[in-house]
Amino acid sequence: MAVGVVIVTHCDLGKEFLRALKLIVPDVEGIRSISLDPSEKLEEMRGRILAEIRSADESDGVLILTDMFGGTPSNVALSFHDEHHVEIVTGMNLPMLVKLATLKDNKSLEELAIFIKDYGQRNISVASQILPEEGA
Amino acid sequence: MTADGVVERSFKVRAELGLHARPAGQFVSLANRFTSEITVGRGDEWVSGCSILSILSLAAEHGSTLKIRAEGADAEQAVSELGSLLETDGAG
Repeated sequence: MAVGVVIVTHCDLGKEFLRALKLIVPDVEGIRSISLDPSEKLEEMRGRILAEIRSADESDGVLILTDMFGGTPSNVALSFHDEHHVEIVTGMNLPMLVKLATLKDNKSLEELAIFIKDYGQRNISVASQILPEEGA
Repeated sequence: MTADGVVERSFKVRAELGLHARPAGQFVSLANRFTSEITVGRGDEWVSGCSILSILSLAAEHGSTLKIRAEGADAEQAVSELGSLLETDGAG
């Protein structure tokens, strides 16, 4: 994957997302996670995110996944949008991570962000709409 | 073999919990080692054998039957190994 991926979340959500991902795709590489603590100062949060952006960027930019639009992880991540080659997708889920971990084609950062947002939305399901009716 | 380089066979999912996320990941990881194009079918629905989420969408529970179809030079080996994985309890 040419585009770097960094997960930024409340508490240890990102770390646990990665733990779950590794159960499904054990050889996953290159996806980083940052957990933000509510007691942390804003500049400390920005410093840690910036360090991960720099490590993750192999010149094609960095996709930042956050847990929820409007939350601090998203808000802090959004503050990098104008000054760095990053795109931010909010409201991440496990299907998005599984897809990112197994994606083979090289998309640009902008294409990847749109693709993975659509993919995450498509993979939210209501059981009764996908399972066959009993007896069918 | 149904045609040149095309192999298709049916297998029962033996894992007690069905073909859930972790075994689907193992299936895709194995499928990616072959050059053949691999698809997995349940009833009339066919999906790519190289997409974890697509395989999960088949909702293959314990005891269900899945068809594995491979097309390419290593089709026979692919269907054989992937079928064995489905029929192993360990793939749960």
